[in-house]
Amino acid sequence: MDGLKRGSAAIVGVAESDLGEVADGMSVIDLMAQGAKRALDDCGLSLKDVDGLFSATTQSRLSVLALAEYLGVNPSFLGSTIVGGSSFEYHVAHAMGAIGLGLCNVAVIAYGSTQRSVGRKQASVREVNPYETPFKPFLPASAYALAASRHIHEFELPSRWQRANGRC
Amino acid sequence: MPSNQDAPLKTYLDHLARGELAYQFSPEAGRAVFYPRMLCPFTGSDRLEWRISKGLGTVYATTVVHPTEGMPFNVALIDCDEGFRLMSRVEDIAPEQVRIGQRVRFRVHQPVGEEPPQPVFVPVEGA
Repeated sequence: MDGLKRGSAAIVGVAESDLGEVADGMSVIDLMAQGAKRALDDCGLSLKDVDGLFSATTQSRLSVLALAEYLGVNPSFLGSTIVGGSSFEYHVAHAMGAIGLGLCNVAVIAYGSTQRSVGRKQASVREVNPYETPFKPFLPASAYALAASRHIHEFELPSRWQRANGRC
Repeated sequence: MPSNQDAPLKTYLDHLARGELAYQFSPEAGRAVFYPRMLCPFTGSDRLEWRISKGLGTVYATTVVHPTEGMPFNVALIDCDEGFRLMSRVEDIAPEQVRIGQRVRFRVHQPVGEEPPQPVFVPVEGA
């Protein structure tokens, strides 16, 4: 196994969709498409060059298929790995591998969210874990808080922080 | 055809309904497994034994949730003496009074309505 070769692929265009409170009725796929167009403009490529497509969102069940149809592209390689905030690092690695194998040449990686407009509850399906949900952790904040409490305990964070948080 | 196995969750909740905190033990790994599953995550073996915890443990991590409505409540991770960790809460003291390292004892909380019982913890007296 050779693995991914450093420098074998490059990120050539980067852009953002509209941010914050976007226009009424804007969908996650609208925002992905907007960002994709801007990223292609950033590097002088166009949709007809795109033969790889990646996306991740909690708001569209088959987002990469929806996006491909929306953009009118027919990618030879696509991916929708969802592993939270690091999904797109995986997409970059998968695109790099696919480009290295000659499965595609130009990959677009897109993300869109309307959570700011529709709220937390609408933006992702409620997922029940029978061993944790009954204790009503406010996720993801409570998960970070539990880890932080343990970190402070084990590594005795500076007393300034502890004083500010009423710990001494 | 072998008959279908019980879901790990069902066995766990059946024990809880009897006031017992059940966990699995992997003989091959020589250690406890929690949450309950079909396979041991340490060895891949499907030979897991059910055991009943003595119900004593130590707070591993703690936080307080302030809901939009209702009183703040504790969320904690508890290390049981048998070597497994679970999410729970410590009751009977103010949620922000819960301390890492505090010794706690299991008890069953039965929510009103259809919800299954929950394993919660209270401080061990004099610990």
